[in-house]
Amino acid sequence: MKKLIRSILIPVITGTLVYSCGNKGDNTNGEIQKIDSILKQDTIKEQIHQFVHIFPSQIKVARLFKNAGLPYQAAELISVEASSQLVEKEEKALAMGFYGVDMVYSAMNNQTQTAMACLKISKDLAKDLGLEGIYETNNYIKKFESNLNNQDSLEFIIRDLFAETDAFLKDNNKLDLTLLTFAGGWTESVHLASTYALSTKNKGIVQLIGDQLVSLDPLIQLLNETKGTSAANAQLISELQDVRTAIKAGIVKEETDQEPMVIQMDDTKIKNLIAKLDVIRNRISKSKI
Amino acid sequence: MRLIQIALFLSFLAISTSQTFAQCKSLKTLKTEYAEIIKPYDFEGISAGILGAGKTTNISVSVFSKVKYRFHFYSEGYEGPVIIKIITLNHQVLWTNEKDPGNMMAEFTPKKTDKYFVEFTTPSSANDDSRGCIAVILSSRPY
Repeated sequence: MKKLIRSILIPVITGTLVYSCGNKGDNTNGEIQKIDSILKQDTIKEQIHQFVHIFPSQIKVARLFKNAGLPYQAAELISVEASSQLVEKEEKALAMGFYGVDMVYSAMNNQTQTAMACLKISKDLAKDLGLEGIYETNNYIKKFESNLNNQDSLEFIIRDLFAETDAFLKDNNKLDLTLLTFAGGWTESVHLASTYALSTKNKGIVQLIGDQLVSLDPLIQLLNETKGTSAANAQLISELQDVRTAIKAGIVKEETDQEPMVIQMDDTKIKNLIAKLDVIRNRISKSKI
Repeated sequence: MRLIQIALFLSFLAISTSQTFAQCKSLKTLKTEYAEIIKPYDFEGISAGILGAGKTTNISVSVFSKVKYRFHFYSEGYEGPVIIKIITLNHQVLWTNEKDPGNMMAEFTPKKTDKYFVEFTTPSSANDDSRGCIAVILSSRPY
């Protein structure tokens, strides 16, 4: 027992004292401090580089489009059934973004049953991705059900759900899921706006579609930095780049320090944009072309 | 026996290191703490990081035109004030707390949809290993 105490406790106590006092005289300690320093530097590097961009909340984007005149278009939402076809983790993360935006649009337009269906799908997807705790801890389903007649409360609940999910993913260093979810939501928002722009030529909506480049560029950049070996992500990056090209084709005047860019899109350009967005949507809603 | 001693020492250092990082609040905690502070604005997003003393880093933010934004800044664990700047893509400084380091909130209504950079510069320290936490909490005015 004494031997055990001597061999375990003494090094620990000595180590504590040596470390606390910053004694660099001993070789072993010096090496260990060097290792410690490297460990710290690596972790710091990782921490700073992980979440270098704050993306706009999907609820804000939805509100901007709605205020510009975007109505509810039930036929354009991702079908509820499509969620059962999803297998891969990347697809599910992407789908969480799609259904999240559909939930926002439905709630904002008093389509509460559809919003509720999207919320339940999101919860199932979150469970598959290991995020079910967010829903359980905050009782989102129950809160949602209790506020079906109060649009402001529903928006507040969705906003909180998005914020909790974002914080959870970042706290747990799940940058890949953060980016995929945002990519899904971004695609769905721009798709809903584009289909409406095609039929109405609403200039405000078209300009807002152009404005979404402000988050598409950092999204592509961060996906590039974190894609690792995933072929699916590499494909998504390529598809998002196609979408960017399709939007940029509508720029008639580049932005300056003071003035925003001016964007105009005729039928051909909008149809091309929708086709590029559909490529991404078809990963989730395979029946839609 | 020597190996055990080294292993124990490394375990101790690992615990020390994790304790160092534990000084940063989680984003969930920060979000909760700022829930009241940001009112009547709505929560938009949050980002944070660990930064060494005497260092500079930035966090970028997508902002839309004509939307009223508030940037709340948070720092912890430094020996002096953290200098914060909000900078455009063309390096134009839109806001800084350089003359009033206690000011940890900026308000903006961008004229055009843009990408801003929040630049943090932390005070230097005699201790090379000194570090702390920085964060941006973004909120926007509801319609």
